[in-house]
Amino acid sequence: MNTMVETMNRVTDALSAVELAQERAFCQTVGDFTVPNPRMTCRDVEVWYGPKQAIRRVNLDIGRNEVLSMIGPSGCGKSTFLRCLNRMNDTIPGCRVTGSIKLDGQDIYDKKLDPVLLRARVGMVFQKPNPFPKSIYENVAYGPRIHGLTNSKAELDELVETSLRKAGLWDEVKDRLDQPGTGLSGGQQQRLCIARTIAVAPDVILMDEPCSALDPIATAIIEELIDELRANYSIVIVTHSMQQAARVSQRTAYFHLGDLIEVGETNQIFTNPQHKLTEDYITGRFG
Amino acid sequence: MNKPAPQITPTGRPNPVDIVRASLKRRYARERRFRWLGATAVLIGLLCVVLLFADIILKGYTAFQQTYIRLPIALEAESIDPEGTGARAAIEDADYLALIRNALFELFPEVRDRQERRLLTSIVSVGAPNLVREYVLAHPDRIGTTQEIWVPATADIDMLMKGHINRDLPEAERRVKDQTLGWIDRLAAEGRIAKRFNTPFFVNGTSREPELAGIAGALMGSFYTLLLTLILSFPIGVGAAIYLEEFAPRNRWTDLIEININNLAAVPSIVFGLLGLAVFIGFFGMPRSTPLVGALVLTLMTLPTIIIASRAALKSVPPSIREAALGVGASSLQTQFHHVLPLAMPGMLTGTIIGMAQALGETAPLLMIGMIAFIVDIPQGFTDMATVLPVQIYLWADSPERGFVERTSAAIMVLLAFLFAMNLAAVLLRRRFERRW
Amino acid sequence: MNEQEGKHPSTDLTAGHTVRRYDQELARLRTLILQMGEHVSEQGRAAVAALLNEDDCQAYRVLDREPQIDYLSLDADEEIFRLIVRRQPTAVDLRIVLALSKIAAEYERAGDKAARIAHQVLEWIEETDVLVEPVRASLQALGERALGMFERSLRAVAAFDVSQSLGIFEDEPDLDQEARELRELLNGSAQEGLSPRYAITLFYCAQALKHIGRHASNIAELVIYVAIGQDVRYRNREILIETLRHRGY
Repeated sequence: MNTMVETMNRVTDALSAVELAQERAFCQTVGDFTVPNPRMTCRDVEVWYGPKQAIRRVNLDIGRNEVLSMIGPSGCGKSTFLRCLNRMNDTIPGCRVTGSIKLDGQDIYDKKLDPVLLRARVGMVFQKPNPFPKSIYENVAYGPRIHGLTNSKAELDELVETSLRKAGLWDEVKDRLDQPGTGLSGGQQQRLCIARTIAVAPDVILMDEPCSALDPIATAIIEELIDELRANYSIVIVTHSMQQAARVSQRTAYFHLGDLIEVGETNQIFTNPQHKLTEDYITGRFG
Repeated sequence: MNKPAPQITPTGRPNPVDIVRASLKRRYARERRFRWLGATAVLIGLLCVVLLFADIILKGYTAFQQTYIRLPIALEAESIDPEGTGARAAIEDADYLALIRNALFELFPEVRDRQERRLLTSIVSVGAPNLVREYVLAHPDRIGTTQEIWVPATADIDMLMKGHINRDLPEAERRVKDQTLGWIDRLAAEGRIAKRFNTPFFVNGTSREPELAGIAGALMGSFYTLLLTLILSFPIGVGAAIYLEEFAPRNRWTDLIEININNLAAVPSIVFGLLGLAVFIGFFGMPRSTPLVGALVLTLMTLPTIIIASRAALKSVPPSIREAALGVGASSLQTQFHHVLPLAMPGMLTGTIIGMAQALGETAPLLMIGMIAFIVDIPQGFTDMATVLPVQIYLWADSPERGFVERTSAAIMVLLAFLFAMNLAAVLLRRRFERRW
Repeated sequence: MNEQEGKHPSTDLTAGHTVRRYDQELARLRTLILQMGEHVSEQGRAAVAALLNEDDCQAYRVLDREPQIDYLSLDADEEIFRLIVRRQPTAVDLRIVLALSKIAAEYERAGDKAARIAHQVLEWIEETDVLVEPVRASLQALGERALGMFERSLRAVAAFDVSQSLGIFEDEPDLDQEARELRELLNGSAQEGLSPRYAITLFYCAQALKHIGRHASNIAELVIYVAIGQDVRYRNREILIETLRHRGY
């Protein structure tokens, strides 16, 4: 009798082991998440909000001069992951990040690394255009000024101009630099925010749904800008618009309920995704 | 109304459009009723305010004028400056009451009886000799001449001239006797009696005599108290708000502090007075009845208001601004001081001014720390004995003399004017800060 | 690769969208294409019958019905444009729409081939021409093979069924073999009483039948492209069949 029970137990154990293995397989990302000579490498990244796990074992590389788009349904953890990359999650109480995220080989969660310094190297553009309630000039000059990047007024003027030029905004605002940034149109405000970000000369620009509040024409201008910025920066963009991801990015990562399901060339993800979940999401079969 | 008959749809039910149309009238009627109700409530409120103001103004506007009597006073050199030295001390010591009495007796030579003479003298205020003394001190060269000088009438005469004393009443029930009435009428006929602007009301301290009582002492007391309250409560309140809102960890302690601040805002103000009495005067031995202690007590009282308003202002700053600042690499202190504070400032200032206005109108806690004392001198600093406007109003309202009634109302008007000015300042400051986007 | 566990080839590929109209539009497009295919298949059968029986009426009927296919093709194109504009299909949906568009073209051209046979029958065959027995049998076998492949392609498209497609690939060598045999037969029979004109006409028709079979193969390639997302054109057929069969199709 005893031996029967034992056998039964062993069988159930074995079954749960199989289930566990299946779950592991589920967590396994489809596609090659590595790139040669990466700018940032993320390994086994997990994020917890208190007892709740928001991200499970994400492995992902961010290449140089590439646009990586992250797509997925709401609450899939893509924004959370994005905010790990410049430690914006530090400001949220109860948020814990494990695993390693390296920028040019240096662990960004290292105690010795100041998050302020990190955020100067990894800039961020937010969902809602959020220019400071100051003049256009002050908006762009603020970052360089607090970091002490320039030595003279002339130098600062030049930096403001080049930043605005890179953001494709110079011609539109050069005559009214002293006017409030909040008086610009939504698309211009977002470009002002991009100019503000690149004025600090970052290596990586994170964009959290940068076009979700903009009309199609403003969106197209921003997308064109992203394509131009790729020459000098690594860009990670979270977007809800799959078309946008397909248009602007070279690589695409699909997140689902805290897992990185699939990552690969954008072309391949949008024509022939390997994972059922990715395909269902991309083709609108979700839910 | 051309109301079409309800159409029956093929399903057998009445057309929804008809059902909706039938209920529309009822819905609009309800809306109209509600609008009327609201308008009536506003109207009642307005009416109350208008009544209150009308009452105060009607009672008080006469206090801005004061009855004066013009007397030909002979400034005899032998009684003012018998030695002829022109020394200031000698001039100050002279008996000016006698000069006034002489002038009166000159005007009414038929009055001989001592009793009557005393009555005659009493139509001039007891403050009149002081006024004459000041006149002489200002113009020492006029000693030896006879000058027409306006001296204040006593409060009863003032009331009579302003029509507050009814001449038709029987003499026994009237404060001004028939004989006095006769003198007054004669003076009026000679053009020797007139109402002039009541300067003493604004430059004098309080007094037992209504015609001499002024609000300058109380105003200065209020000024010193509020100034110190502002200096103490604004930085402390804003600092506490910033710490609690932006830096403090969220745990049981901060929750406890938050609850206590909210509770403090609801504590009756007299409790703060008791606390001030026990701690600042009893324990620390600070001088009682001074703006210093008053300000400390009022600071305790306004702090919760300022903290709560400031926290609300900080909370209303959109988080996207903080994110933006952090995103370009500002430290959290830079984020606060460069971006969050300027945006929250209008709200903080409004809260502070509301707290200040509250403090300006506060009486109860100040009664506890002795600012109710009868103080004639105008305070010169934070540690002088003083009283404040609302307490002054309370004291005058309590006085039996008829002359204090109008002064009470006038003082209330001054207090209200200051409150309006402060609220106006709040609005203007808000505008000014908001214009900087 | 985890297609086996990740994807379910048995379920309908056009179904399951959150927007159900999208499902309906895809299904309608496929139905339209299948309708076209059925027409073409009937045309093929009729054309072969006209050829074998020297039946002019049948041939006329084929030519009469030819425009119907063209009209269906226009309808299909319109549906495809509308789908692309409205839904911007991606991944498997994109493959379905692209493939169906190409399949429509293949069907249309296969329909042309059937019409060409009917045309030959009317134009070049005379009352005196008699189809000698070995040639007739061979022609019938070739027609059967080609139309069999074609009908199979219809079934493959209906369910985007990889194994049906593989069946078509497997028939290819037989088709080639039968076409070669017929050609040799025609070469020989030229001396045996078939006029050169008749022989050439039959040769043209055989060629057209072979092309119908080729179109079926092209369609099979597109079906596989839809189902597994890989372009299998210009690949070694034997290895391809081997691999896919091994994967369980």
